[in-house]
Amino acid sequence: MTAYAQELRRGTAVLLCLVNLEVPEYGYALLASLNKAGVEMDAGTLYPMLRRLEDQGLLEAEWNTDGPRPRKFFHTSPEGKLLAQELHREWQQLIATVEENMKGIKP
Amino acid sequence: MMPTLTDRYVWAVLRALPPEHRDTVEQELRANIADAIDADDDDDRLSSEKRAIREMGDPSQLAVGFSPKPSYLIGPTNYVQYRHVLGVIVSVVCFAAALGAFLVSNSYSTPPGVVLASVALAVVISGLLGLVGVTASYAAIDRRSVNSAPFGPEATLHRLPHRPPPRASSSTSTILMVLGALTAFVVILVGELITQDFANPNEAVFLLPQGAEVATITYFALIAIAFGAIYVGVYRSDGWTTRLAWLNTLLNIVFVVPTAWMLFTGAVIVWNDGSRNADEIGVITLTPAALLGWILLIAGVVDSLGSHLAAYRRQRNNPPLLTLVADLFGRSTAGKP
Repeated sequence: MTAYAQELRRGTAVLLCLVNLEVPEYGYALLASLNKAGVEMDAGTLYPMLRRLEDQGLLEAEWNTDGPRPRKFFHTSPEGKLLAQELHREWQQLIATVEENMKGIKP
Repeated sequence: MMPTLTDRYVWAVLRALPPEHRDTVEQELRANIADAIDADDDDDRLSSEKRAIREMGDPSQLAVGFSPKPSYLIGPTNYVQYRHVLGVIVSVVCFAAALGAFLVSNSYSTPPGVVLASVALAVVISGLLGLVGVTASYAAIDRRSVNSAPFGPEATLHRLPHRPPPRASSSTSTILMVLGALTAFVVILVGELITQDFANPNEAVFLLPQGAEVATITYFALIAIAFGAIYVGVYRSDGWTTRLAWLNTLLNIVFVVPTAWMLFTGAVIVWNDGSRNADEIGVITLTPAALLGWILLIAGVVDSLGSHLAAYRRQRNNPPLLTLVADLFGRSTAGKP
């Protein structure tokens, strides 16, 4: 059950990153906030994904050197925001489809 | 200073990545690990560091995520090294096979077409053998080095690799030029000794410019030493510098130009049946010797340009090649009205 649930959640990882990063954030803070929100994601999965989204132009990144140590802050690009809206629409349709199909199943 | 666990973990990831991606990935990894350590409540920093690294996961798997291209037969741990070794081995084997096939077939007054076909066949077969051999070896190494235990236990952390001292960036072409010079030197020296028909001087094969054997041998030996010295310089400088690139270009000129000239004019490695001489063969004739001369010329140009490009990229902190080209193009058009 846990593995299936994780697989289901993993499909939403990109959408959640794009939505959460509308406010600029650095990698570890994003990981912590996702985990706090119940989306368990490995650091080894998140960091490469952030880099891939950056390479694809869906995220923009900037090194912040104001703190005691440089940190790379990510935020969603305009293209990323458009994709997030599309994915959100897909997500809503998916929920509606699942709910519709669940009606015929007895608990 | 002793490398920390973080240093070793970061290196375990970086070594599987192409050199041009390492700097940025290293910065990100170190920042993320440091953040995770800071967020840990444990006062013992080493314990926090271990936990942070375990959270990052298996370095090989992380490298797959950061890798710009997927690799299938050879995994990320060994892929970059495999590609490098494959390039060197296949190039050297092909060069040696081509030279050997040329010398053997050309020594029996074989028609030029047959010589050319022999050389081409030798290159294809040796190249394929090299490819299969290196790939099979690395596939075996890769499967033996796969982590049998899940990443994270104490024993696994202790197995993290140490970063080697700074090394020269890839300079395969220079190594090949050194090997080429040495091969030519040995072939010419040995050939000079074994092919002369001293009993009948009119039928002798001559492999060196007549009357200048010692000078030619010394010349090639010095060139081989000079190439070696340049490579040591590249190693010590941790990559190509502009000065080394210019020295490399100069050395290419003094190696390739005379060698190609000798091949074009038939002054070296020509069957002297008494009926032809260098003047009759001409300077640019498509004989197997001339073809070898052209290959050497092209290799020299590519090697020189490659060293200058490497030095230029190094000055600009190794940007990707496409970025560099775009940057150059942008700068060249920016000044125009």
